[in-house]
Amino acid sequence: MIEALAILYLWFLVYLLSIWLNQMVQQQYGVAKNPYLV
Amino acid sequence: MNGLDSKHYWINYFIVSFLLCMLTSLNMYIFGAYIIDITFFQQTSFMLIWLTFIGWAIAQVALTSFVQIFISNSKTATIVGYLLSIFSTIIGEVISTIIFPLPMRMPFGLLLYPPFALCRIIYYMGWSCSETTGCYRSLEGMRP
Repeated sequence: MIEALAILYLWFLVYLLSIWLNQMVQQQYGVAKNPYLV
Repeated sequence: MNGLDSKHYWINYFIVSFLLCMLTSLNMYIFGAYIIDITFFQQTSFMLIWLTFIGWAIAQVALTSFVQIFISNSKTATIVGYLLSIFSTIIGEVISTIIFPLPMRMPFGLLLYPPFALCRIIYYMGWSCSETTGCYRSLEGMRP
């Protein structure tokens, strides 16, 4: 149970990673031209 | 970015989403503990329940911002968001209660996905309430 709780908090690192990835995607492709977007 | 530079945009995004989650959790807690009088909410440690809610809010914000990388259309984002939210919880409950019931341990890899981790925590807390030992009344009483 403690490990599951710790994992939930560690997802904050995924948030930081996704900020970086979001910015990478926008810089490389622009929001409208991104070929990976659905 | 709504006119904000990226740093302030992401800080705001986190704060607003986190507060929304906290409001929803508070609503649920008030109804569960004081209006419907559910034993789970009344007897389980307040600290433990709120530690779980805060962790869940952080994980939810992180998951949505991660999914945003792949979705630009708001309609698609809404549909994918609801599908993830509803189906993940159903699947998480099935995995937790039927496939890996106590005393079995859930594989660590499955816990890495936040809805599955949340379902497991709630399962542990609910199970504890149904046992003779009673609900988790303090953080020290938590069994791994």
